[in-house]
Amino acid sequence: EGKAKSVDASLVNKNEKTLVLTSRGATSRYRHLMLDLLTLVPNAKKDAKLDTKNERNVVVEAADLRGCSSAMFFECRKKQDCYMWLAKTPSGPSIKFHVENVHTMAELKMTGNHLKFSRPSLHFAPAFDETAHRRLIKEALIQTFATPYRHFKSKPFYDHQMCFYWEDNRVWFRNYQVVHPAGKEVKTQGLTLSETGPRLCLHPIKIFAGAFGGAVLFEDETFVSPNAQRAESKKRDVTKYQQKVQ
Amino acid sequence: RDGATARKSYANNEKGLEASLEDFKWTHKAKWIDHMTITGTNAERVVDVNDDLTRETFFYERALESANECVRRLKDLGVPVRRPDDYYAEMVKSDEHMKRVRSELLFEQQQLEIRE
Repeated sequence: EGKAKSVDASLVNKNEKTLVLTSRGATSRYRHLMLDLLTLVPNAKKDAKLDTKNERNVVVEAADLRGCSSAMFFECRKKQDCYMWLAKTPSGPSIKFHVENVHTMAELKMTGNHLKFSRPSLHFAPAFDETAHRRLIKEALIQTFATPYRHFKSKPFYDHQMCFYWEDNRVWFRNYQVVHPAGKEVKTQGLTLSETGPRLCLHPIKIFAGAFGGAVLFEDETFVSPNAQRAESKKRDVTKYQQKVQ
Repeated sequence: RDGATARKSYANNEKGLEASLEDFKWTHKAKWIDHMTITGTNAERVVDVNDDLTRETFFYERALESANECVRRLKDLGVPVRRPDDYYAEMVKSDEHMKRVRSELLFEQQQLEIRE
């Protein structure tokens, strides 16, 4: 007990700030996801939804105006597909993800809860260190999701663990409440976790050298666009019908 | 039609990626407390990602290992870990919401009992 030791921090990231915004036409699920992320990242700024889908340079300008060093832009198309851009502004790089399997915090099956804006610990699967593009993705995720030490909005105490796993060419995101044993359990029981949400899966499609553009550094060959997927399944349905007729 | 199936080669410019990473990274300069990142040590992978139960159990176990490691490191640094019981502050989910979560849990349990 007694006074806490002063902790030696480098504070390199004390000015990291992320601009978070969606395009117009985002469905409620993705809007909720964006709001969930805002409750998890104290150093994030929300901006009004963007009218245009094609001039993404506007986002870089907006980030500059708000003093942000990165931007997270949810681009929704056809009222069903959602892409997330994670960009370092103004000089890049940027990663375009396809957002899949979203469960927001509002859903009732996740029973965890934790302090708003307490500093998370970030878990990364070792697979992130294996290739160049995964290392870049890892660094970008750390820079966005780590709460700077002693950020004015952050609360002390450690009560949630954000996790990033690499499976099936995708980043899987989970957020757990860390439940500390209390009372009599202290001696017999260790930590337990309780999932707080949100859950999502990010499929990296492309990595660009600049913010929202520039040379393509990486492209995932396993990615099939949702449009192509829908067309494929329609084609399958057609043959099914033809077989029935015959 | 053919053009769409026989696609051009896919970019994977490793030198470019490394150079870009070199450009913007700061975690190598940071102390651990600046970002609190823990890279797992268990390199196992999920066998079948479509099997929800084993996948989530696997994720949970990895997360728990890291959580324990994080508590250990924070204690070494002398940073308070546990929230005192009399510390009240805003949570990510409101009391209203947690009430609904609890009643949902209760409802599910009752349904189970009825079935039994």
